[in-house]
Amino acid sequence: MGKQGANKLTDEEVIGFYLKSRSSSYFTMLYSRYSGKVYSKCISLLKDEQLSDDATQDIFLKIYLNLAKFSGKSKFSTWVYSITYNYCIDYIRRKKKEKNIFSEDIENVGEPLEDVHDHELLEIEVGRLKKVMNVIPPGDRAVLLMKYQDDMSIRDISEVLQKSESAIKMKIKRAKHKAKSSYKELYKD
Amino acid sequence: MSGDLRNNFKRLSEEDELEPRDEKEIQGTISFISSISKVIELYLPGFFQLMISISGGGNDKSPKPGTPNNNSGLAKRDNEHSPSEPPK
Repeated sequence: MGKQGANKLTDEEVIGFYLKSRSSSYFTMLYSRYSGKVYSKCISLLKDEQLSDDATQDIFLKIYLNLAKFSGKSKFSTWVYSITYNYCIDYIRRKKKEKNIFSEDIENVGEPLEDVHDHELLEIEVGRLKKVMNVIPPGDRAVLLMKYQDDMSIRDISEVLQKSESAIKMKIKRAKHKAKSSYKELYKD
Repeated sequence: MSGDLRNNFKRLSEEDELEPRDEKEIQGTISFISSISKVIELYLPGFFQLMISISGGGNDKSPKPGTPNNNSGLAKRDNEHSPSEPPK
């Protein structure tokens, strides 16, 4: 198959060809498509280039070993990102010994929160958004990336984090609130 | 906040994304992944089996292929007492 033709294949078709032939060229295609995105998520969550490089390799090893188990129920990208988020969250909990990775674990959750409209976050200038994302807890960062960067549904997020859909809605609401209040704190002017 | 309509979370991802690597580097990574996974697939189950046997958790009662079944009459005649049974 020529390069042009191969590039037109969907992820699911590439996986199908890989599972039939076990040819590494098909896995290479998947790696080329997703390694940059996986790395970007790792760096957002782990905040360390070397660590993110190693994490990307570990995540692709997991993908390689489990590719036959990919059922196709969700999009391949969602499956890849869920492995990535789980890997990073697990790493933060284990190695960094941060048990409280969501703002609601740290702060008083008693008071009612005002709704933050999506556009208030989506329109923050990129440089500032990066700084805001750096100061909020990693769990909040993860749910915001899943929702706004990967367009994952509440159901997909709930499967990744193994929480109920209503718990995820609350986590997203709190994460949005945390991001907005951090933005206000960082950029008081 | 700027008036840009684009979702800036997606821009954030593009900024952090790795520069496309050259084909040699990708091939190197893939062959590393495939050799590590081969090692895992080939040797890890055997390693776990060995650890189970060492810890005494193995199923000794299951007949090994090519060895006579201990429950057969012949086996009983040849070996009437199990080693733990006191001699009559």
